Amino acid sequence: MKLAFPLFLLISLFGNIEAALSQNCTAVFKGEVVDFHDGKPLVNALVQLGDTGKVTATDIDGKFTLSGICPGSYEVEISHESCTTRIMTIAITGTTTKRITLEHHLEELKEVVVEGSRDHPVTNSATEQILHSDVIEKFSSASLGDALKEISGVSSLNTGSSIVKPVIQGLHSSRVVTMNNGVRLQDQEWGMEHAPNLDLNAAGSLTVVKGAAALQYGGDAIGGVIIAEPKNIPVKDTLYGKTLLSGATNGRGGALVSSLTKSYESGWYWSAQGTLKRFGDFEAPDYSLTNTGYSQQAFTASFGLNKFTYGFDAYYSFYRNEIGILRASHIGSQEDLLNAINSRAPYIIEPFSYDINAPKQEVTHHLAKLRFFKRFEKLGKWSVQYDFQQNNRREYDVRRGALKGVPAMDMELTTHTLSSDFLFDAQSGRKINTGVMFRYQTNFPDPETGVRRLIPDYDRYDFGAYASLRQYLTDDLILDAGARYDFTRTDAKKFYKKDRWEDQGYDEDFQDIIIEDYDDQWLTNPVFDFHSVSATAGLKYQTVSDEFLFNYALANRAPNPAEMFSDGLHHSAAAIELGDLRMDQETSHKLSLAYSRESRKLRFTLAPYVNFINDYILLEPSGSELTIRGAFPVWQYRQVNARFLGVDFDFNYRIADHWDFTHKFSYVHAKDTSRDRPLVDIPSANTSNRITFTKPEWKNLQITLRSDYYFRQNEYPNNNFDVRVVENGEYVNREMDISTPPDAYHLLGLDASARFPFVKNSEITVGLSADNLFNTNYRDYLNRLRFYADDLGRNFRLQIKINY
Amino acid sequence: MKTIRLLAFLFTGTILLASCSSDDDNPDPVNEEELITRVTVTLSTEGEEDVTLEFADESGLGHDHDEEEEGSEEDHDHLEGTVSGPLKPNTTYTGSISLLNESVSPADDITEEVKEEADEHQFFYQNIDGLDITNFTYTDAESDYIEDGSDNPVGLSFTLTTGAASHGDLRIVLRHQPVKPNTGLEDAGGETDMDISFHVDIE
Repeated sequence: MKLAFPLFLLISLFGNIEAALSQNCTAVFKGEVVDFHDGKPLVNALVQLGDTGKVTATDIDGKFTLSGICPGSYEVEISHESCTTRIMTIAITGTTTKRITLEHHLEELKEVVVEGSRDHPVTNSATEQILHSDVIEKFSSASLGDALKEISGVSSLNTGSSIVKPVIQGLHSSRVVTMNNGVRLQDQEWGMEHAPNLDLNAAGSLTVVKGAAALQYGGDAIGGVIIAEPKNIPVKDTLYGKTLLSGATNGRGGALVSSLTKSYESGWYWSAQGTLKRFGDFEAPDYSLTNTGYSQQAFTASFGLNKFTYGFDAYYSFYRNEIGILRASHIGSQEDLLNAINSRAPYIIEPFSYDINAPKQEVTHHLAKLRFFKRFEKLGKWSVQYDFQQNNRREYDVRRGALKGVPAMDMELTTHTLSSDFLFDAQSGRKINTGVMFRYQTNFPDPETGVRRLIPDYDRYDFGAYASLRQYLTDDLILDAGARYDFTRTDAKKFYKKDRWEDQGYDEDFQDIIIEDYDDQWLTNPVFDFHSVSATAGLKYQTVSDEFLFNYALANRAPNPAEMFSDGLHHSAAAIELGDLRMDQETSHKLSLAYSRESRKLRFTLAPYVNFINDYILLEPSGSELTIRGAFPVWQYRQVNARFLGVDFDFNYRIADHWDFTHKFSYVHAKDTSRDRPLVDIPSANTSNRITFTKPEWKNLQITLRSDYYFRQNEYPNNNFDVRVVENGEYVNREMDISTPPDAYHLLGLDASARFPFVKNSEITVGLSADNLFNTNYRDYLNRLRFYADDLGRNFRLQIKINY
Repeated sequence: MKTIRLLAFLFTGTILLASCSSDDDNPDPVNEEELITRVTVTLSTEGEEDVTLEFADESGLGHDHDEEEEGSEEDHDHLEGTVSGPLKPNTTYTGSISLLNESVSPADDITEEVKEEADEHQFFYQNIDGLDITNFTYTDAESDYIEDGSDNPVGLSFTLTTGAASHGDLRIVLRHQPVKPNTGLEDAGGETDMDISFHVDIE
């Protein structure tokens, strides 16, 4: 491009001479071309006057003059090598002067030009990693949590194989914020067996920010933020889409994903995407995992206008799933649990079936969003967004008589959010982002279940405001800092059994919140306000080959409704879970460092961190309670001080042409410093190694050998307790071993894919994968069903993708 | 400015929506519908008064806590019912069991529900701590209660034969969806719906 400019100048000079010779045409068109953002003149911008052949380039001050123009209306095209070309209609008579702005936005351009090859960070100095669509597509038939495990430091908390909750550097549930296309997911994330209600096939990229530094998404993301963004839609006339069909032997099911996008040069676009998944019972190496099938339907649609100076988008997503829970894990008492732990194999093993029976969960999630943005010259970009979400969760237990088919839990969570942001990006080298957020949420647990509510009726009001700054200190050194304030009010209506009320000591502390007396129950109206402050500051030092990040993040998280109000029997855990009204906020101080180096052959990142969490909320056994079904352990939420120390390591090495090696390792050491003992449910150290052979000449052939090794978790608290059972006509005490982690395990896998041209303008990609190649028996410490059955056995997958 | 007004409007709408919902109307209380609050076992033999083993718990959720108090274990881990009188030694009794949920009104007859789902339920009887009952025999089968039922026992009716004079516990367990047939509690699996012990004297 650069070489072409002098040539154009020559042409324009010549054109001018020619025009001067013309008699009637004496109009002059002059003006300046400036950057929209900061008003700086743009040098060497090309101004072309319709099809007259008249063309000129701007000088060092952004000025230009075209003379000898016949008066009239012209289509003027203004272009610059790093800007979007602009065409405007201008009437020229006499001397017409015009100031023309162009979008000169390097970062947004980078995103478009090298999409998929360069990461566009959410924060400046926090450690974060991104997955692009090539990786996401590999997991089209799996879940969000499975895909995110490709990121070092991200593991998962599973309930079976279909309910997969992401764990970021040892933290999960309410400590992880999930953003779906700019909307904070409100899907009852507090439960250990509640996976994010989000179809990963709708995401064009998945970013994980490991920590609370992304303040625009919330101040309570002590664990981190998962950001699912749809693919950018280009501003040009085009229609494209893809269809992905995958099938798997384990579970004898598969997924169908299809999407279609239409966009226009005018900025208008629409896009639609759908996913269908259906699986039957999965299989462990030695037996069928009865009642583990699942089905999922998801759909998204969007349309909008994307002009440079303004635009809007409307988005709707629907997500529904029905997930069977291993039949053998539904138990009645702690004696049943003891039997299950000791038997090492599930009690109920039936032949393969696609049926999904109780116990199961059914979740429906609606999300609708409307966003509008406008750019202001020499100032920045303002956006305002309203979003609505409704999450309905039904959990079915094995029940008797007329209650069969009635869910044991049926909760509907409705959320309205209104937010507005302003990004000041006019000054080069500095960006300031500010915003406010209002949220109203209401939870309705349906009393028709005939089971006392685990989570009560409540209304919740949130308000948040933040400001963050990114500033280039020198060419290599960038500073970022930000602060956020959040207010949360929870206004609940909750029933307490009178004896529970007294057991918890609430009769002394909370007698004033009782509003009604129902025989053996009190109706209470707890109202809790929390004020939270979060802040972050960090530095990024960047040279051609090295990058050094340092970040500090302070975050406060108000307790979630489960931590405050839980009160009831949790079947899959065979435990009575009790919240505490006295629960306080968690406060996290996290320091993270990252050092990366990149050369032609080698790329690595070493990222250590330490996270001190005061008043960390955990759930642990605190006694037992007798019911007609037998004795149940009572698990109570409590608060301790915790310290997380860990490191994530990523390493890529080009061994030779066509051969690449990737290594990942992560380790977290988490301690309850109040009692000087390890924390429960912390992922064990794990390492993953991959060797990939790539040969673009051979139909883009790619073969990868995967090895994943999970060490045994040797740091765990002893939460075991004794249970009195009957053996041979005598009462005996037996230890309930709920603490000991399972052994280390190693899984091997293989992926192969190739790409072929298909009918015109389209191509087809065929992929074949094998997981758990040696059919290894294993159990994972972070799988809540590890007491009942082995994890998944060997699996072959075939995937066909058509791009058109 | 128009957009600001729209924003204000939206926000006001949200507040209105928030304030008009559920402020006055309180939620309804829920009573556990799946409870068994009364268990009655009747043992009869000719020429003797019936012996009744009974467990009643109005609240259903036992609430006998043992917050890890050492020493209290002896008394707990199974709910205990009351017994109307001693059993005779070396005698065969016919027994029947009835279950009620009295936390709802009118009371639910859980026995009927068990009968309707005979194939999904089984009672188990155990002698503990030296109680000398020499023989338990199921005298019913699924086919007594449901069409096309199998010969597998349910245990709503049974006979038991006492041995020598002794004291100990009789434990009665109801399992939901056990493996059928089975050889006893050990390999039955399923989930416990009821687990009650009675201190019985044979004298």
